[in-house]
This record gives sequence, structure tokens and C-alpha cells, in this order.
Amino acid sequence: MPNFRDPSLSVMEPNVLSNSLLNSYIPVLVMGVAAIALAAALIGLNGILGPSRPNPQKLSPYECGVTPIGSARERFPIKFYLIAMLFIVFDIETVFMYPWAVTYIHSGGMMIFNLIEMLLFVGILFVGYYYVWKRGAFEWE
Amino acid sequence: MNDTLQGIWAISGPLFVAIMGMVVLVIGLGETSPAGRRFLPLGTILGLVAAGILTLVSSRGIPNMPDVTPARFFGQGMLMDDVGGWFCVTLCLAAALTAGMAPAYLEEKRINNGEFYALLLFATCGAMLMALANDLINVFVGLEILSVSLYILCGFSRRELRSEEAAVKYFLLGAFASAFFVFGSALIYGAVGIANRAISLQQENVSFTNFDIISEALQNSARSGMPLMSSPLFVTGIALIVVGLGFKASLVPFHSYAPDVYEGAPTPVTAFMSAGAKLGAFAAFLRLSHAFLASDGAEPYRLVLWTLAAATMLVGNVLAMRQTNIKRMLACSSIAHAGYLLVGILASSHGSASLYATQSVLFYLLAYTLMNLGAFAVIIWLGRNGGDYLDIRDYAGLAKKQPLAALTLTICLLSLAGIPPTAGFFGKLYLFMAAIRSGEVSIAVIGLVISAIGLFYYLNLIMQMYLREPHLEFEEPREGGAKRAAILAAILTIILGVAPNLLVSPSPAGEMNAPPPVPMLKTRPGENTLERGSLPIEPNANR
Amino acid sequence: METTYTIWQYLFTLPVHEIPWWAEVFRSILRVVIGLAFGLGLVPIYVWLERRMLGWVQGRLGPNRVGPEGLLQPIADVIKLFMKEDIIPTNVDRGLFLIAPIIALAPVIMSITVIPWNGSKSWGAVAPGLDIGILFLLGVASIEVYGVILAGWSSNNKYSLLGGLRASSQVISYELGMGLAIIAVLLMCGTLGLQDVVRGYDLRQPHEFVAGTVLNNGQGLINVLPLSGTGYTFYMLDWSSGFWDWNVFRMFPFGLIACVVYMISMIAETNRAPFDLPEAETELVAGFHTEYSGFRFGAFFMSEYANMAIVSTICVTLFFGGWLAPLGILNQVPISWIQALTQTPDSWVPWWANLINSLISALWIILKLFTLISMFILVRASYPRLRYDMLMRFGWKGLLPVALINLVLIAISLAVQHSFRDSLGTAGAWWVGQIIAWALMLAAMLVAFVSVRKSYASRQRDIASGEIPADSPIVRHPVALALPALTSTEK
Repeated sequence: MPNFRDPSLSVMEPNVLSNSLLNSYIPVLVMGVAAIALAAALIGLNGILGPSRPNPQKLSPYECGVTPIGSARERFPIKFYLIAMLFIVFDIETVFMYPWAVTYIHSGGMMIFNLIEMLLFVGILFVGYYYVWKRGAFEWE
Repeated sequence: MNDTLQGIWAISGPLFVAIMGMVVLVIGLGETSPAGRRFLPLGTILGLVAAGILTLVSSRGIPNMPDVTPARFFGQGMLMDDVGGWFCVTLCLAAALTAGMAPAYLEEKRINNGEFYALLLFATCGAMLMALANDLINVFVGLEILSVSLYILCGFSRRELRSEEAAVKYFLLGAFASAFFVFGSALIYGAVGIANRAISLQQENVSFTNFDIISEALQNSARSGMPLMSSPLFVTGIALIVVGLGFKASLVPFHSYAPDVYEGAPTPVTAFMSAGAKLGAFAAFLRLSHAFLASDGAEPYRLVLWTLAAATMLVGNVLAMRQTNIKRMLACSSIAHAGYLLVGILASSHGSASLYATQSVLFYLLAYTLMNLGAFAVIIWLGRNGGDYLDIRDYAGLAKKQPLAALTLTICLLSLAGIPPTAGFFGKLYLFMAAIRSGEVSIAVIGLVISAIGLFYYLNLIMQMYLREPHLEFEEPREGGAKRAAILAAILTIILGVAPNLLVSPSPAGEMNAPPPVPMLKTRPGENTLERGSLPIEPNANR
Repeated sequence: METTYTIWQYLFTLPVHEIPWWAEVFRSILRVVIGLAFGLGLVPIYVWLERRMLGWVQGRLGPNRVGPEGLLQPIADVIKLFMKEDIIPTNVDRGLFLIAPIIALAPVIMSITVIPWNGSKSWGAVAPGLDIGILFLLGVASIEVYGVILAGWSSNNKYSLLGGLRASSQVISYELGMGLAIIAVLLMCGTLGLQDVVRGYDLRQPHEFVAGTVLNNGQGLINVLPLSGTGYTFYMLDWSSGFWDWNVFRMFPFGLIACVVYMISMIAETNRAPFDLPEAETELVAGFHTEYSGFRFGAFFMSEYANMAIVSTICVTLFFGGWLAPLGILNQVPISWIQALTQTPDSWVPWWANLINSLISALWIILKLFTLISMFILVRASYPRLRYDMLMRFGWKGLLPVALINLVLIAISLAVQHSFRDSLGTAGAWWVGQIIAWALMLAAMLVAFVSVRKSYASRQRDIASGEIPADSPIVRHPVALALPALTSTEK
């Protein structure tokens, strides 16, 4: 099996290795804090600099200048739910392919076996895809 | 790679059912012609028969692996043995009978699509996987395949509000039950993992939800003085799993959905659900209780099963007496039957009568499948354009108008009630014998008394059919496949009732101390069936 | 071996695995600042570029008053947004309404984390040591859609709700094609780390390759040249490499197909024209952010443009060689030249040599990025907006199967290459694998065209028999749209 880590690390003591692993995630943490702080700070700055003179007209929902009719939170087409469900199904199928794809060219003698397994998987996926297509789930009308 | 191929051969039955499901699904898309429509049930039945044969063949022995039934596959996660084979064949029978009785009904409701048969096959596949699973996680996968298919099937008659209501009720409650099950599995994983560490089973790369591992951990931990059964984590896990499975098997107090869902779902679906879901759930129950076999500390588990069994039998029968709708009545009666089956499960957790009890549960499940599906098939058979005769009073005088239907229904009802010349009688007999052998005399007595109460509502319906004057005409019954299915089921019920030894031979008159009666299925001559016993652990009463 | 290091070495020069956590925190902050400066600092320039280019395409001037050539216009706009009132309308779902812009903006900023801007192991990205780059990107990027749908839902406005729904269903629909296109790259490179993807391992010898080792000269693209004693380990680049080694030209044409699928999906993912239905002014006012004002609106605006830059950078990284120059010779000034020029000993490198080389790498990725951004803008200027049913159909029936089949063909070709490598040699096996995959591709195309023609003919029959009106809104199949001549039924 190929070693995906820096080979210079593998000869070091375990604590150095864990140190390196930890160190590689520190920037993610810093960036996460920075991203949220930046987004919040910019919006907060607006709150400080901007005026605040609300009146009922200003605060009413925008409906092209007309007084709003009814609630905005109404039922919406079931098509959106369908798309969401199909997305979940296909996205999870896609997620299953990630580990397979990464290890595929490193699999050596098991490559053909891996190929057949994935062809079976994709085949089942295609049966579902064909079914959904023929049933008209992709038609928006 | 060779291991994988052997594993695939071992579970070729369920795999074939799943592939058949996909084929039917795709064929059903384009078929609008009557001939094409006719192919769907036919292809389904043929596929199920083929899967049943495949299961029988593969449960008899795995190529290159002689003498290893029950054999473990897929990293110990699946197993193939006679118990699993029996479950699979029974499931195929149930699904085939359902596919046989369904077409005319579906055609009238304008829902005769490929999806019905495909979902039926998927549900069958899921239940078969449950029966062959040797790991709680695989049980869960099978459970989900079964459940999700059944949710959709319940709402399959989508133009009817009742059907939708049934689907939503079943889905919401079923999703909770599945969550209970998987959470219980997680707790058991933790508890067994801790026990494994404490008593060092010296096993690595094992799944702590594997039934073999659970059983081993139970034994070893009991020996080492830190019994797993006293671990709150483990007890909670088992309790959650019992809730999850109990829901699928509609045990009291998780039964409340059953009458509504059974009534609302399309009748063929109700028929399949009453048999298929129970088969899957009881297969898992059976494997689970085998894991407790040799453990000393299994008393809490048995106490829970005892209580559930008694409550289920009582409540099911009492509820059934009050019903006027025949589907609801059969639903309640199926709750009661789950109680009888639970008596067998309880008995099978005792080492002394485990094999006998297992066999009696298997026999009862087959008998129950036949008689229950037969009864539902008669309901479909008698229905006519627009609806079924669901009120029990509608059946008044049926014997004069439709004598054959009345006879068939009578046979099924007698069998359900447990009257002698039928399969139901022997089924109950074996179950209660197993309970007495294992020392659970109290539950056997309770069961006998309660099943006498059960006679009331079955005989009431029979009385309606034979002694009352007809007030309905019963014109243009559907007949067709439903008629054939009903008659077939009734004939098989009688055959099993007359000659129960044809398939199984637990001798009811066997002596208390005799070794457990042997073969699960009819075995090939000259084969030592004792060694191919179904248990993961050899029962050892003396330990 | 107890060595004492100076603070300077801890903070700047030592390799990342030899420093304590606090030094890495310091370095992270530094890199985050650099990343944010490039990630967000360029946003005003995109905005300016877009407005000027659109003006140029449409024969008008565009903003040209504030600053030289109007360059300061976006800055003025940002200042204006800060000075505007932050209106929170009545009846909104207050909590969600307030938090939605942050949820939309923060993940976009987060995505900068793993994008490499040069080959250094310690300084080449905000998180250069993270070897799960692509997974991280996908995970973070998919959070953004929550901001959109929460904004749409919480606004208590019909336009917002519809816009939010449209945006989210569009984004998730095209995420599939995008994911599959990315998997095609993973399949070819066999790694999740973006740095490794950029360096592009030689596929013809995948089994001989071990990540991070010193590759032999001439075979691989890159020599790993750790300069002893410095954390600035970077990669000496092979002069013989060039744009022909980029993933987009790998296993021709499968890398290209994956690239095209990715680029179409990324336009749809960022809700840009011609896929800008969620913000279609003529139908939905401003879509999901109709009710937002001040910098809350600014956050959505910024996240859209920053997202555009991020997906373009990912595209550059995955398909167009990231920070690599199109010709190997343009990659960097060789250290030996600098050493010769400054007459320093072999074991020592002047600190500014590394700086110059990293700036060259960063320059290349920015150049490529602006090329893609310009493409975005020209696409916006050239194509009319799609109808929603066309959009959905194109995503589900066009991109998804194409990407999936492409993936399968790559896998087949790789497996064939692997089996024939011993008997035919690397190059021979490559040709065998590719020819088989090409044949399968042609077969798939044939099947697609035949089925399209059939459905077309049946549609023509339906029109002729009056079953559906001739002007019914069902349009052409995406494949037919691309190649009308092949599917035309006119005689």
C-alpha cells in the first residue's frame, strides 16, 4: 500500500506525527474563527455606521409597492421536495464513490475486482436513474 | 475474492429476489398492454420460486465448504443455515401467494403497476436478509429494506385516504421503531465492547454487534463474575432492540398501529405485511434469543419476553372480539398470534429445549403464513367492483351463495383458531409443548386458556357464514388468482394439519429428556442432521 | 538530538512538523491574512471587471468616474452599503433572518483554506498540511446553500421564498454533476490532497509512485527538493513539463469532459447567468435576498462573487495545473542561478529567493483565475437565461449521465492499462486502454443519439396528430441542443 503521508514523517516518533496531524488542522480552526468573525464584524459595522429610522411602510414585506396579500409561507410545489429526495439519493451514491476513486489506481492486483464492484454499484444506480427518468421525475411541467 | 463468491452463493436467494425486483421494476415501466401486465405477477412468482429453490440448494451446502452449515460469510456478518433457509422459503411462499392474489384487486383499483411487485420483492429480500443476518447491523439493513418497502406499499392505493393514513401512521411509528433498534444496537456495541475489554476475549477485528460475539461475551462475562446482563448499557440496548423488533412483530404494547394500518392498506399488502414483517422480526428474535442460550444471567430477558407474550396474547384476542371489520379482526388476531410465537421464542432461549422450540416456531410461522394469507385471499376473492366485503355481517349466509369460498375461509379460520385437523393445531401444540419442555409451564397454561377465548371470534364468523340467512348477493366475485391462492393455502393448511411430519418432525409426544428432535427441513438420507444443527452454540443443559 | 531553535526559526523557517502548536497558530494567522487578502481583496476587482466588460460587450462605458478607469467604484459601493440602514422587516423569522447572511458568507471564506497558491509544504496554502483538501471543499461549500434557503424562508416574502427554493434546488441539482466531475480527477490522480492534484502524478506509473518522495528526474513532473534547515520546502519543477500535463488534457478526452461538466456546474452553482434564475429580476425582483439591505445584502453579494472566485480557483487547481506555469521553464527562477548570481555557498539560499519563487507561482494562479472570471463574464454577456424546466432537465438528464459515464470510462481505461502494462509497456497499455474507452464512448453516444431521435420522432408524430400543440413548451433534449444537425428530423 502506498504511504500517503509524507514519508519523512513515518520515521519519526509518534508524538511528532500527532504533532504534525494537529498542526495541519490548526489553520482550519483559525480560518473558521476568522471567517465567522469577519462575516459578523462586517455586518456589525453596518449596524454601527448605518442609520436606523424604521417606519411601518419601510418594514412591510416588499411586494412591488402593493400591500402584501396573505402569508408568504404558503405551500410550494411538491417538485422541490422531489428534487431534494433525488439529491439525497444520488449524493449519497456519489459519496460512496470517493473512497473507491482515491484508492483505485493504488489497488494493484485488485483493480479489476474493484472495477467490477463499482460497475455493479453504478449499474444499480443506473436502474434507479432510468426508473426515475421514465417516471417523469425530471420533468418540471 | 473466493470468500466473496462463496458468500454471494450462500445468499443467492435474497440477491436473486432483489435482482428480480429491479427487473420487474424496469419492465413494469413500459408495460401498458394486458399481456405485459399479466407478465408482472407471473414473473414475480417465477422469480420467487427460483429464489426459494436457490435458497434450498445453497442452504444444503456451500461449494468448497463441506460440512459447515451454519456457515458465516462476509466477515461473520451473514450466515446460512437451515433456520435461515426455512425462513427464506417461507418468505418466498408468502410473497408468491401475495403476488398471486393481487392482480385482479390492483387492476380494479388502477394501481397494477410494476412498482407493486418490485416493492413486494424488495420487502421479501429485506426480510430474507434479516433471517440470514448474523449481526445486528445487517439485521438493521434488512429491517430497513423491509420497512421502507412496506411503508410505500401501505400507501400504494394512493387515491384512497385510508391508504394514505395507513402509510403515514406506519411510516412515522416505524421510523421511530427503527431508530430504537439502531440505538439499541449502538448501546449493545458499547456494552459488549467494554465487556470484551474487561475479560479480554482476545479477539480483534470483530464486530461487537455480531450475535456470536454477543453470545460469547455473555458466557465469558458471566463466568468472570461481571455478567453482561447486569450492565445497564446492555439491558437498555436489549430493551430498545426488543421495542424495535416488537413494533415490526406488532407485540403489545407496540401494537396500536396494527388495526388501523392493516385496515387501511390495500388488502394484498395487509396479507403480506401480516406474514412478511412478522417473519423478519421473529427471525431476528430467534437469533437474538439464541445468543442468550448458554448464559446464566438471561432471566431479565426472559421475564420481559414472558410479560410481552402474555400481554400480547391476551390483548390481541380481546381486541379481536370487539371488531366488526374483518380486516381489523384479522389484524388483531395476528397480534395474538405474535404472542403465541413469542412463547416459542421464550422457550428457545432455554438451552434444554432450544432446538425443539426453534423448530416449533418455524413450523408455526409456516402454518400462520398459510392460514392468514388464505383468509386474506378469500376476502380479495369475494370482493367485487369498487370494494370488498369487510363487515363481518356481510358474510352472513356465504355458504349458500359461494360454498367454496366459505369452505376455504372456514378452513383458514379453524386453523387460526387451532382446531385439530389443521396446521394451526399442530403449530400451537408444538409451541406449548416447547414451553412446557423448557420449564415455562405458566406461559403455556396462560396461552392455552387465552387461545380458548380466541375461539369465540373465529367461530362467530364461521357461524355467520353457515347459519345465517344471506342478505347480500355476492355477484361477480373477483376469483382469478385470489381464488387459486386461497385454495392452495387452504389445501396446504390441511396437508400440514393431517401430516405435520411431512416437513418437520418435532415429535409432540417426545419424552421430556429425549434429545431434541432433529431435522429442520427434510434432509437427504444418510446425512447426520444433528451436526448440521442450526444453533450457533451447542446447547448444554448441564453446564 | 537536542537542538535549540530561535524564535525566528520557529515562526518562519522550520518545517511544519517540527514546530509547536503556538508557532503554527502564528503561522496560520499569517497565512489566513494572506488568504483573505487574496480571496476577498480581489472581489472589488471582479465587480469592476464585470461591469466594465459588460459595458464593453454592450457598447457602453460602464463605471469610469470614481478613480482611474472607475477602479474605485466598488470601494465606493461598499462604503455606501455600510452607510445604509439595516432594515429588518416585520414578521420575519428574526433569528434565521439575521444569521442567514453569515451562513452564506462564512463557508465561502472557509473554502479558501485548502487552495494551494504555491508548492511550499509549510506556506503553500492556508492549511498546506491538510491532505483531505477536496473533501473539505465539498463539505464546506455545501453549507452555503443553507444560507440561501434560510434567507428565502425567513424573509416572509413570496419572492424570497420562491427564489430561495429555486436557488437551493438548482444548487443541489448541479452539485451532483460537479461531484462526479471531481471524482473523475480523483480517479486519475488517486489522492485527495489538492497540492498533489496540482503536481499531477504520472498516471502511467501509478504503482511506482509514493507521494512525497523524491521522484526520479525526467519521469515525474517534479523533484522534491527539501532545502535542509528551512521550512520552506518547495518543489523544484521539471522544465520539460507544461500545460500538456494538466489534468484537463489527461486521458484525452475524459479529463476534458470532466472539466467541461465541472465548469458548467460551477456556473450553475454560483447562480450566475445563464443559470441566474433564483435572482431573475424580471420574475422574482431579487430572489432570496429581496428583503435584505445594507451590508446584510452586501454579505450575499460578496459571497456570490467570492464564491465565483473560489469555484474558479478550484477549477484551475483541479484541471488547469493550479499554480504551475503553462511551460515548465516559466515556473520559477532556479535556486542555483540565484546562488550563482549572489555568490552564496551551495548550502545556503537567500531568503528572498523563496519569496520570489512563491510570488511567481501565486502570479500564475491569479492569471488563470482572471482568465476564468473573464469567461464567466463573457458567458453572462452572451447567453440568454434558461427557463427553469430547461435548467433542471439539463442538470439531471444532461450533465449527470455524462459525468457518470465519463467516470466509468476512465475506470475501465485505467483497469485495462493496468492489465496490459506488463505485456505492452506503459505507452502501449495507455493506447489499448484509451482505444477501448473511446470505443465505449462512441457506443454510448450512439445510443444517446438514437434514443433522442426516437423521442423526437414520436414528438413530431404527436404534434402531427394534434395530441400536443406545436408550440408546447417542451424543448429539445440537451444532447440535441448541443448537436442539432444530428437530431434534426427535417428531410
